[in-house]
Amino acid sequence: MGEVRGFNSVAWGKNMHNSKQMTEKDYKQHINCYSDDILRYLAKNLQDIDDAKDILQDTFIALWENKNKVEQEKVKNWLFVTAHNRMLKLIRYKKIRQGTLSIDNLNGFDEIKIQNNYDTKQQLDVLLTKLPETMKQCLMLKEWSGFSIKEIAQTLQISEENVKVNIFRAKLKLKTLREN
Amino acid sequence: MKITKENIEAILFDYAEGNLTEAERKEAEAYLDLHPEYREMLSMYDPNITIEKPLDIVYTDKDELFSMVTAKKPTKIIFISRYVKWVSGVAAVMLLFFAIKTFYNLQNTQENTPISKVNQINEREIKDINDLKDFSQDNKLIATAKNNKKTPVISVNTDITEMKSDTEEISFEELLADNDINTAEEVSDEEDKVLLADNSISTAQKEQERKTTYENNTVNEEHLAANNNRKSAKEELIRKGVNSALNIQPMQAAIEGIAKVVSSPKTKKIINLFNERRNRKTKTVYSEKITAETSNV
Repeated sequence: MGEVRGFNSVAWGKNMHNSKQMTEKDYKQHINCYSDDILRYLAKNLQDIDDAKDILQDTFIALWENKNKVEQEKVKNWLFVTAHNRMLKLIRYKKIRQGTLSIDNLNGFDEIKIQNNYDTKQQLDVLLTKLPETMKQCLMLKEWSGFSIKEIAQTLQISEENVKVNIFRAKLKLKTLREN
Repeated sequence: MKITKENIEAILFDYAEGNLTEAERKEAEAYLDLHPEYREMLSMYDPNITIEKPLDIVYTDKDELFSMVTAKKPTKIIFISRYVKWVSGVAAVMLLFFAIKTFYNLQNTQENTPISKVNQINEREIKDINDLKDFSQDNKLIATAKNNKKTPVISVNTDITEMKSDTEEISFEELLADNDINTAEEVSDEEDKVLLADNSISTAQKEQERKTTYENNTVNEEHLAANNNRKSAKEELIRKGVNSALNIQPMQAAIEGIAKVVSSPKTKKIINLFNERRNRKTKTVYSEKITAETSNV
């Protein structure tokens, strides 16, 4: 969990030096470690890889600009929180522009039916799109990024109890959808 | 812990994930015994069900992002450069405004600046010769001209050098000869000279006209015509120069000024002569004369 190209980001995060000043070397490490996870999270939520890349770049630019303010141990949380907030902003903007756009109904994914020749990965991917936004985000942060319940709660700005309920319901729904 | 309908799902999550203590687990079991629908829900929950990470989504521009961000200049510089255009534009407008204002002020002061030396006097147009004011001492000529649009434009050539070049060093004798002026000893009061070079009306005739106009209190057309002739003659003389108009009050001021510049004792003498005559010639003097003459007649 949390490994990207053989790189143990969790271990690296724990062993990182505690100096407050973020150097260019540290910054580069953060990019290598977290950019993929953040991009996947954004891409699956926005259903648009270009928008996801834009937000990702803005997030890391903001990190460099605030390098003296962000603690080294909290960089991961900071990145995800920033990316998540920018994503919500974009979604709201798109909703306003398009009027009828709903977060839960993006690009007609409701009409996509699970075909029998889909593998498990594809099936789950489609199912994921059918989940409500908060449930999907909680699940992705837990399964893909290795966040704890507390970290997910901080990222999404909801209570820990709410996170547990969302994950519980998300897994129930996934199982139900797969069986049906 | 208190288990309710609001928090049962969170407790079931912890129960399934193995995050509850022994006491909490027993408590949850007791609650589930009372509410079998939640036990069924718990049985449906699969903690192992996951969503696989989409490894095909990879950010490939990591190096570009790093170089772009670290090489990027602080936003403050961009902020300043954005407003450089506006600041420079405003500065240019202000500079232009002050330049125009300074130029305007300079033009206004030029008309009233004192003329310290003769060579600095330039030809200027004076609207009314009557507006020429008195001159200061120390050979400084201060001339101010008011903009009187009612009277015709009269140009006075105050450049003594030009005049001198035109007239070739006017001597006192020449001055007297040109203007038919005698010395102070030769001029008498009775003659009553209004010396104009081109004045065709004799002094006696003029005095007669004055007498008749005073008595009759009428303005003769001939007198008006004569007056107009005199005025036009005056204007011509003023244009020609000082030599032709010595005994007229407006011209006298010009003459006095020029004479002072020249600072010749002989010209001073002439000025004194004119002043004496001016002071003596008043209306009351004329009226006394006329009444005296009529009574004598």
